[in-house]
Amino acid sequence: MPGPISLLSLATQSLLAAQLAQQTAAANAANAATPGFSRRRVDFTEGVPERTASGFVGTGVLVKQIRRIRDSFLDSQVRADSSALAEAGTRATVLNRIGSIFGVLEDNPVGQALDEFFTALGDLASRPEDPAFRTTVLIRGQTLATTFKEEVESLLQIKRETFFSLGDQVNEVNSVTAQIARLNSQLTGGSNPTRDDERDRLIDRLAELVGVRVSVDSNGVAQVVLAGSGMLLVDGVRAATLTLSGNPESGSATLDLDGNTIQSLSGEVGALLSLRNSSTNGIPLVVGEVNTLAAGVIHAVNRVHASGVGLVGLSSATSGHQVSAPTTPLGSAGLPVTPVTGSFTIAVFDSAGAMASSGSIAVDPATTTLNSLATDITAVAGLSASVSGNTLTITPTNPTDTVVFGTDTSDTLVALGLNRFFAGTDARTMAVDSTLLGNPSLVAAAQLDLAGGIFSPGDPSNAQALAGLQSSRFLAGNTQTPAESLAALAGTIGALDRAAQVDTAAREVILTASTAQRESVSGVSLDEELADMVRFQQAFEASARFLATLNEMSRTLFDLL
Amino acid sequence: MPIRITTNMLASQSLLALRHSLNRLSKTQAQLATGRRLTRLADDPEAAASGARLQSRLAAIEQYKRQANAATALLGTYDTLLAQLNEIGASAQELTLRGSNSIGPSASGLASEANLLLEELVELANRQVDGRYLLGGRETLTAPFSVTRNANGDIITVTVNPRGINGTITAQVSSSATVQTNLPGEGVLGPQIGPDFLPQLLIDLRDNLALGNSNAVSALINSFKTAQDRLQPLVAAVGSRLSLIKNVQELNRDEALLLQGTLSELLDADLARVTIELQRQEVVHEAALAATARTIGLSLVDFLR
Repeated sequence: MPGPISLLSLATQSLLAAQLAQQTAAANAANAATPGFSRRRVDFTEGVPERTASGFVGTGVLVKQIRRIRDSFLDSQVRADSSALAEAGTRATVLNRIGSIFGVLEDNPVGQALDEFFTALGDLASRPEDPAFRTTVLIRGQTLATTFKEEVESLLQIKRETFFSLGDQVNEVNSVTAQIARLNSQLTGGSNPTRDDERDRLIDRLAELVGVRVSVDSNGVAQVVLAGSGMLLVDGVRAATLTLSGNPESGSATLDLDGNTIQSLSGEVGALLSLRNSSTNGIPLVVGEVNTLAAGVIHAVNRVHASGVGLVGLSSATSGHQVSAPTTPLGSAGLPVTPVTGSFTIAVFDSAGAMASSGSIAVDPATTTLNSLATDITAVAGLSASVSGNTLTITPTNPTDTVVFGTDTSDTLVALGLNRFFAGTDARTMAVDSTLLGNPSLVAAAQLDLAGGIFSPGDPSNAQALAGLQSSRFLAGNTQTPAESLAALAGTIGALDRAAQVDTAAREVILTASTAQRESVSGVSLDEELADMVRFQQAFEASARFLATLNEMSRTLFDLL
Repeated sequence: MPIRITTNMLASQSLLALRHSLNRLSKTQAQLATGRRLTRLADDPEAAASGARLQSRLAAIEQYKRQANAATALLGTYDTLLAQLNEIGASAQELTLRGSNSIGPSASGLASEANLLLEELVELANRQVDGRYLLGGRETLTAPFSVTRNANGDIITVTVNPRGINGTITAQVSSSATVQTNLPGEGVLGPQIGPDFLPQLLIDLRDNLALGNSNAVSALINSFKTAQDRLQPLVAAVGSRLSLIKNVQELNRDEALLLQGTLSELLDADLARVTIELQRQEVVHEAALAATARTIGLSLVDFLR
């Protein structure tokens, strides 16, 4: 039969149990807003009953354990979903920035500059002899080049920033995996809810960064692998090292895990890496398209300009694009435009403006080299051509004469950059040719009248041809005007941006649902804790009352003595 | 069993709902503030792209419009020039008639009148507008007619610019239409090596009047008539070109209006609809705020003592 002493210990134990439960409830309530915190529960178990003659009698309550309420299945769901949301959200953020560079419609700086450039050319066609109109064309051309440059620089800036934030995130991944490995090493010696929570919080973050799968062995040690490739990030107490290599701006950036290149990644890092590298839906695609558009405009304008003539002929003409070697056929000499079989006209004008001589130079891209071209040009009376430093220079033999180019069916002039309007080959290098800037009367508004042996200041035909490029479909395989090409580019960016946004919104809904599910299991409900508080307060009071009663009982017994 | 709802869930769900509601409000607000349905490319990439295409066609039409305006102004000056030349021709014919009938001292008075007409003609023939010679063909920076004078300062020969003054200048006034904006110099005054080169006719008239050679003077009548007849078709040509430009301008304007209409449909916000939408969203947002304020404040704490 249990004596008063054992009754006393029963009461003390239940007091302690109630206190422990109170403390747990208080700690839960205190951590209601702590990220990664899972609510704790005190598991009570009945004390080992004592056998009496009349049967078993209870000996009170025992605290079995304090454990955190957590569901690893829900964890893995939340991690997969948060990794997908982080990926979509990062894409959306970056693409939104890219979209804002292009603006909507007339806010699009390149579109505006293109329109103004062609308007200036149209005005020049109305007044080809007017120096003011020539200067305007040059200024508008420069504005166009600058706008292209600014646009591509802004894109490259985003590309560089993407690389640098990749670097930051790689550091974060390494720091997080190292912390997980350290926590793994501390896990011996029973479960510790605080450590488990901390590790789960770190794994949650890792999931956002790169997308992971986790397995925990019977000892409580977590193995973390990349969700995409299954490569080990944390193997027990050892963390793999993630390294980023490549140039911030050019080429591809690569991520290596302990020296092995990672092929597929999700999460923020995955999104940044694909934005940085992908030529199908990343920044290189947009940069490439802007460059293609700029190159298309440069070459189309130059092609028309090269066959025209200004108010005066050229005192000399130097090719703006170098060949790889003067002995290499032009077709494979690395020129921005590949010449085709054909010919171009070149003429010499005397200082009085009369044509002294002319010649037609035949070009076959498979056989004509820069050297042979120089020889052919020199064969024209009154002309001498020389090659130095892979560049061709054509000068009239009489220094007061000038050189004038005529029709070119071979694209040689535009390929070599002779008598060009724009220098450069892409958005970044585009600029108005410096010779023209120094001498606006060289803007080729007129065309050589070979039969008449004349060119005239009032002839607007070349300016008209240049202005006509505005509505000419010379881009994207001769299917798009410059503005249409720009619209298509803006459409592509808009579509990518929109897809990322729609994706983000959808992922957000999914993550909200799975987070709610997890929160529903692990989250702290203040009302619940308050109810517990009242419950255990009552238990405590009951136990205390019991103790007091016990005390009275003892006194009653002692009084008998 | 109902799902367990925690304090955090209530708060984060409310905040999420508020964020979505605010997002919609901000989008509607931006539409109202800009008058645009699209405030970002991503709002409707297809509409933005076709909008950009339409806008560039508008820009091209604007370019044609400017060329057409310049061409109209230029052709207008030819119209005036032709009228003035016509007057000179008429005066010259009258002088020829008077000269063939009068002999003697009165003829020298007529000669000086002819000389004045000649000077006026040369002046007109070398007329410049905005720094370019109207009758110079494409050689707009060189005087089309150069004169040599004798010791008395009288014009004895008028020579045409050897580089030619008959070059045609055209303007692109629409995507398909071009209009010649100048008149060839020799088309107006006659070929220099021909029987009816107007300046030479006037020189001959003056000299023959001065000599009192009435036969020679009367021989000039038909030539003057031919020179005069040349002007009429030119006036008609200028007129028809002007009306062509006017028609093209109207077509351009119609197309521009059409494009602007389509553009507006694509891109502009329907203000009435957006305003109603804004009001609806305001109500929704207020409701969300009120609901949030009431639910996240609910706690057992308030009922425990």
